[in-house]
Amino acid sequence: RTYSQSTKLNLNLKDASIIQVFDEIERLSDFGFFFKSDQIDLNKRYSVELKNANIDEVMKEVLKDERYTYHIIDRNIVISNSQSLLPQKKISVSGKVTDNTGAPLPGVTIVEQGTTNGTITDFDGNYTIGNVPANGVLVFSFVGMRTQEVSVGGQVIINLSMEEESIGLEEVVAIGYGTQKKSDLTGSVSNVSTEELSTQSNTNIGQALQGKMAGVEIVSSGGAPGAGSRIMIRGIGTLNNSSPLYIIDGIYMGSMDFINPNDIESINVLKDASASAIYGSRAANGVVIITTKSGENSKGVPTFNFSANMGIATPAKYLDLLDANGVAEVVNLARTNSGLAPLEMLTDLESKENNDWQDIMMGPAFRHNYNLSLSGGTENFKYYSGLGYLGEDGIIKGTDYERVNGQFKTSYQKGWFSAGNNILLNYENTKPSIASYPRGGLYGSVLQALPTMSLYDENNLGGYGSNYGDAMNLVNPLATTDPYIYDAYRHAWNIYAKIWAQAEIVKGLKYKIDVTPSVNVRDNMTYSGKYDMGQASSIKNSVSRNQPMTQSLLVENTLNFDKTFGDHKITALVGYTYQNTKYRYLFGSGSTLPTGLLELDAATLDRMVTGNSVESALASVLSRVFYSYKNKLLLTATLRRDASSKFAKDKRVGNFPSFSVGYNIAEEQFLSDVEWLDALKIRGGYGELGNQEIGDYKYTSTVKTGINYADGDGGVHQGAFPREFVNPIVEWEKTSMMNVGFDLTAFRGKLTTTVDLYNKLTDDILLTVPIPYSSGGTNDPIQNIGQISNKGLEFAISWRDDITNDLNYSVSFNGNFIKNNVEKLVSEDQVINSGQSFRGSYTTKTLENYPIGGFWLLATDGLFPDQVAIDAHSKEGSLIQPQAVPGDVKFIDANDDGVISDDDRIYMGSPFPKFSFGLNNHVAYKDFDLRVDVQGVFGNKILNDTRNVLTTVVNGTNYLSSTLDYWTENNKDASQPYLRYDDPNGNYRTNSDRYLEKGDYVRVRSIQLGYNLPTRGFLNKFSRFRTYISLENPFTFTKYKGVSPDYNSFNSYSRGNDYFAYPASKIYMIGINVTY
Amino acid sequence: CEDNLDLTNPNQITTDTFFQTETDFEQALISAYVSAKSGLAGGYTGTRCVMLRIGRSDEIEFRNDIGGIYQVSRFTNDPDNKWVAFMFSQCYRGIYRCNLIEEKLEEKEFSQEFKNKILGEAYFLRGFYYHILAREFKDVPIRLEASQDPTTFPLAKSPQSEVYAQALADLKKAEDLLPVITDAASAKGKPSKGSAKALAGQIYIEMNDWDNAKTQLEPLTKAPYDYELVEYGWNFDEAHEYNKESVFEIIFDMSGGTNKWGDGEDVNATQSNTIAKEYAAAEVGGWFEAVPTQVLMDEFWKEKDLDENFDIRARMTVAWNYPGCMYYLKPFTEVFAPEKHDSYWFTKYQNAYTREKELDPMSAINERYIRYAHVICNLAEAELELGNADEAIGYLNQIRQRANLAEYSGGTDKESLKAELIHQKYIEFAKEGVRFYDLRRWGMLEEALQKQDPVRAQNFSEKHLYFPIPNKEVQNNPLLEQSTGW
Repeated sequence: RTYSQSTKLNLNLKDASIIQVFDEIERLSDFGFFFKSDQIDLNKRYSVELKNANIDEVMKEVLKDERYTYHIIDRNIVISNSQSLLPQKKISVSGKVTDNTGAPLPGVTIVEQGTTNGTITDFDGNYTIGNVPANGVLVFSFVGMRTQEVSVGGQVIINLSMEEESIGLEEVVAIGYGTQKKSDLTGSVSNVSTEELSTQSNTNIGQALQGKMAGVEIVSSGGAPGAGSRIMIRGIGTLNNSSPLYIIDGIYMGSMDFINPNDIESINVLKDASASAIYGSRAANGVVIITTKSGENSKGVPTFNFSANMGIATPAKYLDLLDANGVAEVVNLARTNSGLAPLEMLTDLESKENNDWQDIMMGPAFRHNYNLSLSGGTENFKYYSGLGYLGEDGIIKGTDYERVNGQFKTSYQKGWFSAGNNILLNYENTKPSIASYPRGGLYGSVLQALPTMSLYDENNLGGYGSNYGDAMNLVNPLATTDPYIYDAYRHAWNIYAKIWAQAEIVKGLKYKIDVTPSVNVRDNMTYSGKYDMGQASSIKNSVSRNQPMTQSLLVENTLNFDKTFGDHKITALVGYTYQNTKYRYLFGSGSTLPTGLLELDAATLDRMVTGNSVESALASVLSRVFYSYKNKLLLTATLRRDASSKFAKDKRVGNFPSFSVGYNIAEEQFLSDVEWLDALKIRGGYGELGNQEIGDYKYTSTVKTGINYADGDGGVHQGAFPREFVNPIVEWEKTSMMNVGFDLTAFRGKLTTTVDLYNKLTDDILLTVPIPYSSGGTNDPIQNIGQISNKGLEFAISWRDDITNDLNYSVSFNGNFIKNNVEKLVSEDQVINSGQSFRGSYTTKTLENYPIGGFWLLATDGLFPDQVAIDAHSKEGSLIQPQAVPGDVKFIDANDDGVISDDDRIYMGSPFPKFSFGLNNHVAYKDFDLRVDVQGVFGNKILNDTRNVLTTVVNGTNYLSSTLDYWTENNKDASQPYLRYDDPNGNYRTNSDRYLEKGDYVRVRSIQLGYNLPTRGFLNKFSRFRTYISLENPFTFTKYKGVSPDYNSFNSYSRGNDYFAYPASKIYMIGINVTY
Repeated sequence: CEDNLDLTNPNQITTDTFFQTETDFEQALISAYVSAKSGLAGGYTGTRCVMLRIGRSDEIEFRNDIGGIYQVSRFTNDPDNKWVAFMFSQCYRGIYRCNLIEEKLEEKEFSQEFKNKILGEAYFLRGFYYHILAREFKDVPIRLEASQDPTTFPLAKSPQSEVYAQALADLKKAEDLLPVITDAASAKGKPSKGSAKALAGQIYIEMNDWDNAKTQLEPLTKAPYDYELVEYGWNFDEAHEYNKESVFEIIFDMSGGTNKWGDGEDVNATQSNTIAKEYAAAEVGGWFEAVPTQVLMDEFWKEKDLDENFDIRARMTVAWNYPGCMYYLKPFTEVFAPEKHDSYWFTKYQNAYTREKELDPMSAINERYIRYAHVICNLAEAELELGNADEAIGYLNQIRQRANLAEYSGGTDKESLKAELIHQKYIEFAKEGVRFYDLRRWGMLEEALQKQDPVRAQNFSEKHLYFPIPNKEVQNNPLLEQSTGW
């Protein structure tokens, strides 16, 4: 927005001269007045009372009864007398019309006001109009630009810079291989700018996006430092990788988790097929386009920006676990009831420790984040450099994380040629916990560790306490934080180096080439020391390292055409892109190293090395045409042709077309009287997208070597076999999508609303269809089977208003109703069972007419109060649960066959929310600003597998305190069944509805209060000095009993299984942001 | 650039170039053996399947966190049990390999001698796998063609009798093609004519077909075969593998790589197994996953040998607190604290006589899948059932004699002899995965469980005589129905 549009004035003058009025305006603003004193009546008195008015409104009010006219040129206001005494002579006026970047604007219409005398600018933006009265007014108009009236005032040369149309519609969004004005969009695109993301306090961009965009659902992959987010755009349309395509400054990336939020300028999400079809085969899950910050023309003066914040993360929730007395009570009672002796570790408690392992292993963690950027440029050369560091300690000991980001971006432009580069560097260091450790990894070990396990025990190798006797084989969690016992790191380097050049071959036709090599290197180390923790022991130390490396080269050639012919505007794009990706993996390990050494060379035994590599390539032709008629009728058509190495030669090519239309109704005459309506556009589109997210070489069978058998003489007989079952006719997965919607802007931009209705249908899903064991297959081959639909309605309503000059606010609400349904699978009978717990039972099913990974569980009906109830639960005289005793769980025999079996599982709900929403509020008063973001979901279910493990009293581990409420003759209303250690009735089976919970939650995602220090006095060197405090996840309202209601498992078939997910944290932070 | 899309997998040979040379067939055949031994992915002689075989009888108690195994041993398992599923799938994996080898070999013009050698072993292995399926799952699909075409996947179950018949047919072909091997060490781990006959005899015993069992097994007691019963302990240690008692054994060795936990099908897979570490006491570095039951100990203690010692078979199978008992090269009472002096620990197939501790979970003792003692006991039972008491006593005395027991002096009626056979088999084959199938055949399972642990007996029902068909099979093979009761 220009200065004249954005500057608001409050005037309160009584009986003032015109000079006093002008003085007051000059005092309040940067505006300056030019007038000939002999044309102005200096004696006339004016009274003006205006609040929060822009200069146009002020001038109209002041000069309402006058014969003066005014003309605003940037910050200068020229006053002239329209009835001046200049002779009515006709002159010829010429000049050049440019846009706000200084580029010439061809095709601008120039008309003498009130006449038909007119002309248009030529290719270079030049015009000449003759026969104009010296005191006449010229009207400059151009589609998409604000129409301007200029008083000739005797000038023979009038150069004009036109500005794009105001009221928010001039906003430009990235749409893939280019940008487009928001008003021209025909597809469904969501857009967030950095201010709305509080990127300074958010260290992970995914979390910052939670609740910000309708139809873009972000779920957590656990709260571990450095853990990424999972993004689902308009539901989950595939059973394969359902994460969207990430395009960061035009570079394809597999994730955006490692991007420094501080470097981000804006994020656009292409949601429907017509918007994302330009990315063809990889866009079926939507496209997230991130544009990073760039330098601006600062006339050579650099801008420094420094920001820093630090804070404390605390576990959002501790679980209420038993102490030594409690666990001794439930475990020993369960054992006694099954005829077993008490657990050795839970007898004679006085002599044993009583540790609260959550307290020992979890607690507040420090995090800090620093960013420095330098940017600036001249008209021809612009640059941006950013450096960032993030250090995050884990709320569970031994899970720390740090990240370093660097970005170096330059661009050069002169005349028809421009070029630039963009280098993104990233380093991450993650300290992984023993994730591979069974029974819930480190967090599982913390929660299940017996309070009586001693912290330290010098008699044990390694020095830590251990379980013994009939207690569960679990590690001592504290020992895993000792680098002499366990040490590990995951180092990652990501380097993307893009170079581009663009030439304007002829006016309106540009050729661009982008070349982006990238390298992603990982270096992972795991060291296991010597220790003895009873069952868990390691008598020799060992180290293993693996180094996966991905190399990629992306070459993109595009031709862009952009031209306006009168009322017709055409932009067109054709391109050819090629991407090759090579992956190489090296693994080495060895054992028996001198203490303190971690290199493979130091290993003296069991040295081992393996490695492999894969390669894939994708070649694509892309094209897009956009046509606009009078800015009213908008048409977009795209076609992309992808050829992928992942499929056999005859299945390799996929064509992905899309078509969409938009109609700007507000531009029509009949709506021009509706003053409150700024813009209204109706959109509709259809497109097809693809998905090739399967492994490489899946269409061809290979021979597995190394299936060896000992020869009995110290060697092996070499064995080999083509053991993999393959499907040579595997091909593209296709997603077609229909989208209709409208965008409305009203009340001078105060209200904006977007509503979209969509139907996303995925066909020929790449599915690993389970095959019977008896086929002899060792794997489930990928087939193109089935159809999944996601139908939904999403909306975003936002209201912003400036109440006074000092106080403004905005409220945005967005929501998404969605229904996921499997329309077809291999056959009606085909069921994909998943959600397998560690004990092997399936909890979810994917089958026709139900959502993906819906919960199918045994229904229960409380606990049997007595033997009478057990006897009554029978079928044709025989007991349905013959092993039940009073206090056991009653399972419903859903199929009425007299036994409780897997076939009795019934549909119990979906892991997908029916409705998710975000509510984002912002208030600014003077130098203070407050942002409160809320988000939530409704209608989903979560299988609380963690609670299952922590209440299944059949092991020597710790349990939730709720297990104390066990059934006895005197406690028949108990929540927990009668305790029996061998659980013959299967009370604790994971596939019952006892562990299924509602996943609804409303969470205050973040509260941020900022204060911009006045940049006066000793701060006058700074153009901005902001301080803030920020709270992340301060409040969550949910009935879910687990730790993180927004956790989502990675497996498509079992999204809602919460099995010891790393807990979420609340974060309290303070920060500063300084611009110099 | 589209030429750049023709990429081949750089890590593996493609199928087009395989099954060409004799070496290819030899390598494919080796892969068919691996299905029998995978420790943690269902190999019938591997750690987990041995647990499944012994866990359902009255000889052993598992710790309750040995997930999946414990449920089976307590009869609270369901068709989702992963170890049972692995057992089922490994059998068919092996069968698929045998089928494909057979089909591909037919197209080739190798020497008949080479073909016979390959086919002999392939038929033996297919018979071996079908036998497992029939005895563990009862009625199962019989698949004799290797096909990756999904339309061929649905296949109905055949009755157990037909599955047994298929196994017998395969073993008959194997018997015709395999050589007589008198020196097991010359063909380590490879089946011989004798292996095929002994396994077929076992199947006839399971089918109560006493005539055929006798016909199959009797020749093994004569030339050209020269099997004999060796010193009892030699059957379960590393030093005396491939001895005269060995009829068919599966090799476990320290060779291969270091990967102990995979499915055994990669170059880094160890050829050892984890069994010894899993059963050993914590005091010697073990995971104490299972211990002998009191009823087994009582059975061991019933009869002392001619030198008034406990039966050598008891002493080689279990360590307990008797005078002179050594456990992992140390006196029993030194290894265990006083409160554990009345505990029992397995030593059979453990490295208890060669190591001080089970440190690494790697043990290299071959699994003697068929011993000559099996043949003798099966012959004793066949003769007994055929009414030939003298012959039966003769065989039983071979077993007793080797154990340094006096000649059999009990009643010669069928009942007494059967009781002696039951007793001898119990202690002769304790922890070898024999007794459950015997108890089942003899209708004694419930009674034995009741005696050992009433809770287990209460959990037990008719359906537990066989494993259920794993759920994945039931769910994806529309022609197949789950077994009764499951």
